[in-house]
Amino acid sequence: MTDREGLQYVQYHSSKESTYLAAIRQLISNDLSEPYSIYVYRYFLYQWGDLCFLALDEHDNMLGVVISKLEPHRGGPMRGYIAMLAVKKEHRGKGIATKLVRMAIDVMIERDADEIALETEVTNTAAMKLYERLGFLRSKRLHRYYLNGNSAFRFVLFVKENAFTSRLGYDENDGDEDQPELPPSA
Amino acid sequence: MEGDTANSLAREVLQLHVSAEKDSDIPGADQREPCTRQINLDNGKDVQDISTAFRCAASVLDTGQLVKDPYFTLFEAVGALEIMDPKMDSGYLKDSETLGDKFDILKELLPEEVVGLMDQLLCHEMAWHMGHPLSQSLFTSYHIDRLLWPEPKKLDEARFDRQAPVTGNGMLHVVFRAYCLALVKCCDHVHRRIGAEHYYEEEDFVSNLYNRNLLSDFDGAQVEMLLHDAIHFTEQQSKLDEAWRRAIVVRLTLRQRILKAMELDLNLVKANGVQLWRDCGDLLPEIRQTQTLGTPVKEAFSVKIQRKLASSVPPRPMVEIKFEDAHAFLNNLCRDAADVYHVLEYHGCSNLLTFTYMFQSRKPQPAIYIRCLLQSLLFHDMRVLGKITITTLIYDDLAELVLPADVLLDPANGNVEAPHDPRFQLAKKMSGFVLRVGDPFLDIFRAICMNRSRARRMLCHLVLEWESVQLEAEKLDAELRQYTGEKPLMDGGPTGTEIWSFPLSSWAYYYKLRQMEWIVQLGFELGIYQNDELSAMYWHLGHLAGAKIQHIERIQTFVTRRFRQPKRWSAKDRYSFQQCFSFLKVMLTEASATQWFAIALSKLYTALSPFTLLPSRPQRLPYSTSELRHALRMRPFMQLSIPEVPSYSELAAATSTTSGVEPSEGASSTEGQALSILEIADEASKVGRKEWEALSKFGAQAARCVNCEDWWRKSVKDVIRACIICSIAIATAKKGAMKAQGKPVRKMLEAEMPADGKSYHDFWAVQRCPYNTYN
Ligand SMILES: CC(C)(COP(=O)(O)OP(=O)(O)OC[C@H]1O[C@@H](n2cnc3c(N)ncnc32)[C@H](O)[C@@H]1OP(=O)(O)O)[C@@H](O)C(=O)NCCC(=O)NCCS
Repeated sequence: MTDREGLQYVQYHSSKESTYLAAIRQLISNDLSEPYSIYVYRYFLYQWGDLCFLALDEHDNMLGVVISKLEPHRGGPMRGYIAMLAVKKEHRGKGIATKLVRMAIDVMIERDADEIALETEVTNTAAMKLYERLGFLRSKRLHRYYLNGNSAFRFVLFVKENAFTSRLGYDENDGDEDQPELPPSA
Repeated sequence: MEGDTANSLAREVLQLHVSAEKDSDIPGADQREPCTRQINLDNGKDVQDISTAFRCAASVLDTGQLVKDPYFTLFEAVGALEIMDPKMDSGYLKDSETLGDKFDILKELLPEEVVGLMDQLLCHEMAWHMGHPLSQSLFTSYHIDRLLWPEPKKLDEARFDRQAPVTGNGMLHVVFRAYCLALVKCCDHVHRRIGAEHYYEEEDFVSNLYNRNLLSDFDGAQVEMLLHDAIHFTEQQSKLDEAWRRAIVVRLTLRQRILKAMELDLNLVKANGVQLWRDCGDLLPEIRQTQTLGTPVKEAFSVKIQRKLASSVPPRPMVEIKFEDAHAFLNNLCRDAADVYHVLEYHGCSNLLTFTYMFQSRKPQPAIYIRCLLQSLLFHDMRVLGKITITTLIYDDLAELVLPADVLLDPANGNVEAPHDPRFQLAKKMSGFVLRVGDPFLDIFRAICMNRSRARRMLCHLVLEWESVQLEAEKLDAELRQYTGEKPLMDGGPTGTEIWSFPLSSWAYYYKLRQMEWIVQLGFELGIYQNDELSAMYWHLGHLAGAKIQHIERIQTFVTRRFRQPKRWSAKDRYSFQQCFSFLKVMLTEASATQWFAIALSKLYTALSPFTLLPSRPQRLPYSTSELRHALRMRPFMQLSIPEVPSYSELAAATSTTSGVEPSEGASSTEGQALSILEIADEASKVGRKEWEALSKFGAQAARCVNCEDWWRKSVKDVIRACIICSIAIATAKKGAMKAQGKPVRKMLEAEMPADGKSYHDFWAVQRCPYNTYN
């Protein structure tokens, strides 16, 4: 898919690892103080490659990426989780991330997601704005969640109407005492 | 294992190059052929070289193909480190990088360096208190490292000159050593205090000691002696300038006092905890003034020490806390520690809750050490405050809220031994009840002691537990009637239904409502709700407060009826009733004040929503509907039987600009509707303010804030201020809507939310709404 600006948005596939993985890692680690090991990427990409989308320019340079997963959450609802999202500095503010996230969400919904969750730093205005405009709500605050001592918000989006049957109670659905989904870096 | 195999294995093992050398020789291993890599063997018997088999198996995999069993989780993936990646591998050395630094730990110290080092260590210590790991703070000090490793068997061995005692160089070996040891001992006390209480690892505190021991086997008194000697030594240094001498002595003295104040055995410090911590705080101004006398010794700290620490995390940078920040942090710590000891003055259970609550809502929230200290003080020696049984605490509370001078709480019941006597049954059932609710009740206090984000989350869980408590208590209430002989109230209606008092479940319901209120209020405090949710969430808060009002009135009815029954009450009984009535009155005022202010805000935000004065989201959001967002917001309460969770349509109607509103005349319909709603907001905010003012007039005893009156009064005053801001916002909004006359209201008015921490009260998010004078 190519848009007006000549950007292509592609769905990842494991067969493309050698083409893309290095660039994905590069793009994402730019915003992290501590890199994720290759296993973290493979954990997501191997199991949920179809929930990863890339934005490439006409020369195939990678400008943006979203990495996510989808699985039943603690035996309860089907939960999509946006693990990583980044857009190259010079290309921010043009809607690239929004587009990538929407593509991931669309596939999640197609694959029967009940809800979608993610965490972001409380100071990350751009990311918060992006998710809020898609309909996400802040469901809780996570104290000193990141290595740098910053706190996070967990954002949640319910995408299915069966809210009142599958979402009784706080405990079952809301990863709480659990490890954070993606143990934070940043 | 068969002998043959074992033998051949042993032979193979012998052929392996066994390295007895230290890890430090590993770098450079990358240049060797992979198959001849060195293997460290302590005990060779179970080693098999699988390189060939492994390579063979790996060759059939695609790049990126993940081989994992179902138990390999994301957590493991994140824990993995890539060897030879300088950002992950703490053993990796860049070209020409050395493993350690060449810092000479035995170097003679100048007095200004002693002062500088002490202050540097203080910064690192505070960094640890703030939640950073030791590996990035105190354990970056070469001096501390030398004292603690190899682990000293006797305190005497904890020296900088580990080989043989060196004479002379007293500034280092007497003064600085004593300071360091005392500091480590303080850390030991902190580590043990926190470790004994409820906290969240990494979020609040990092407890990892990296296989070091914080002198925990040595007596604080021994360390104290060394400090004593060090002070004496310093004072004897006549050649030393008076200013240095003073600067060093005051630092040693501060250590002495902190060490004493941090004593683990609360029984030793309980009586004078306030004073002990004030004594510490008293020295802080001087520490600050003399800070400039010190010269920091940068080389005495290095992140390279991390390589020696038992840890699986990548190398991480040293945490640098500015002296001013460390000083301010310690200052708060001393102040909070002194204040927290007032908790021991027991003035009844609800007063205890007010104290805990008020103390924890201080800004900045007390440090983790203090929060754990509060938990210890609240409950130690198997007693609340070390002196009150849980039964007494809960009975006190029941008497204050629902059962003044009631037979259910009569301690004499416990003396009856005849099983058929109703009093025997009452005693038995009530002790069962206390056993059941003891933990959930103390958990309310515990939840409040957590960091604010956790407090809210913990309450979300706890409220479910209280739902069960309430249901069980309801059954028990019914059972108890046969022993108390309670007569029902008859509903005045035509059907004449019986109404029972349900004292125990009323008590439980009251606490459930309180927790629900807190969950919503903390939501405001933590910035969970976005601008477009404020009107609904304040409506919900008002709804909860309304439920609380009804409930308290119900309790009042039954307590009053019991008080009026023909019976001769003793003076003690009368006092008990009086206490209960006064408490209910205060709670009622507070609930009503909350309700009206919440309604005012809800209406204000409703009225202004069509004009989108505040930054907010588009009305239609691609993946979400208002119903789904409502479901998410109500999730913490979905499982609760009462109060009924407001349905989406109920909430939507309550926050809609059109329903039930007659537009005022002479204005366009949107502005007209806004004006009508603003009228309601105005009315509510006036009543709200009056109620908050009424609340502020109660005495400390009635308000249950005897040992925390200042904090409580300030908090109420802050809400009153927020009410005033709200009234002003409503007034300007009215003016704007009135004068718009066809012009867009957006042009007449501005609006902004106060920045983080800038509102008068964290529970009350009131927008500023200045009138735009350019129009
Ligand atoms: C977050 C991030 C992915 C957004 O990428 P992007 O392509 O710029 O995002 P979009 O253009 O789709 O949308 C971002 C929105 O936030 C706005 N925004 C950007 N920076 C902002 C700021 N500092 N303050 C307020 N709004 C800001 C943008 O203007 C845009 O809104 P608009 O459409 O109304 O103009 C990008 O900033 C990034 O890579 N950040 C570093 C990594 C990161 O934080 N990832 C998210 C972790 S969950």
